Amino acid sequence: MIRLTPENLDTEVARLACRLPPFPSVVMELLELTGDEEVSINIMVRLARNDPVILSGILATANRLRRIHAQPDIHDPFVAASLIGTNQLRRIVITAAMNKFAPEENGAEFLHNHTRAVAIVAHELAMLCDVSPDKAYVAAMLHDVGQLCFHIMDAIAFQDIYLQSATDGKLIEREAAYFGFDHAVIGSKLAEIWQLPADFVCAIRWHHADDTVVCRLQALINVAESLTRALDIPPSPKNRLTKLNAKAVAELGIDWNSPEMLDCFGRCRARFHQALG
Amino acid sequence: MRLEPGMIVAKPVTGGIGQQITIHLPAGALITASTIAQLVNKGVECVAVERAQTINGEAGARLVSQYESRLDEIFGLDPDENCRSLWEALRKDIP
Repeated sequence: MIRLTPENLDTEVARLACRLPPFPSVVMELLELTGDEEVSINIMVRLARNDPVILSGILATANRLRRIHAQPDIHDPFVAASLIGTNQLRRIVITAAMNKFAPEENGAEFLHNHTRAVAIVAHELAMLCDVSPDKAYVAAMLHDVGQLCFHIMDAIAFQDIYLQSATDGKLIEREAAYFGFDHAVIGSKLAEIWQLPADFVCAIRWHHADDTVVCRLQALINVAESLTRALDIPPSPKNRLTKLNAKAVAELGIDWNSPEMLDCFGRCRARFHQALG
Repeated sequence: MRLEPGMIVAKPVTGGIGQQITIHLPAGALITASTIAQLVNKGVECVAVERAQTINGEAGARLVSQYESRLDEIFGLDPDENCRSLWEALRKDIP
């Protein structure tokens, strides 16, 4: 394994990026289309026709509704898309596209579920904090993407580091000591290589920062990461919350004791358990 | 738990497209097949419904105690000032 240094970081991460799935450009296109319903439906249906996962997600959601009404199943994706609406469509397309980044190695299940949990919590928080929920969802799905590079570099060592850190929470420090940099730095480099917007790069780079706010999206992902651990989703002895970025909480105007926030806790738990099936 | 016709909404629900709210259900509303279709179409992911039964007595107290112990593990016994407010809110929000 080549250890990462400030001198080789850009070239090594670029090399690792070639071994990851290409970033789905449709995700950014969809985020830019927010509000243009007719165009969104046409684009998403065109995509669905070429992607069996997206197509089956759209048809399954629409047919579940039709079965409640005792109506026969439909097979036309455009009719199905019109029935379920752009919000659900966008969610199905984004989830299918982002799931391609879910690590599949043995022992990566917790990481996958943690990512999904942070995405759900970020989505729910965004609705209360005037941040685009879809943008928050995508940024959260990517926040730990740097760890995929560690799986490529040395999967066994990374699993050991992950397990050791369950007891003391010193994951970032161990990653940096073994690989040269932590996953937040590597992930932000990947985001730059994929030419993601600057707020995505910042959100990934500073999602573990205790005392830094760079932009609202970063503040949101940072707080979502903490809240996910506080809510114990997915359940794990690794879930500890000893520090909370107070500047990020203030930036988002969060009042933990408000009735809306208490609802948000329940919605996050319910959606996560529903997502696990 | 999947939303089914016949359930009763426990907390108000709003949904819509973008910033435009196009559906609002008050607490106490009856869920119908048509309501479910509209909620899905408006992008509503989650609805609080009234429970068929609640867990009371000793079993309920045990669940609350387990939940509070788990929160203490997550936050530690003396959370710092920034964490305390979240810890207190979660202690009030017993799932």
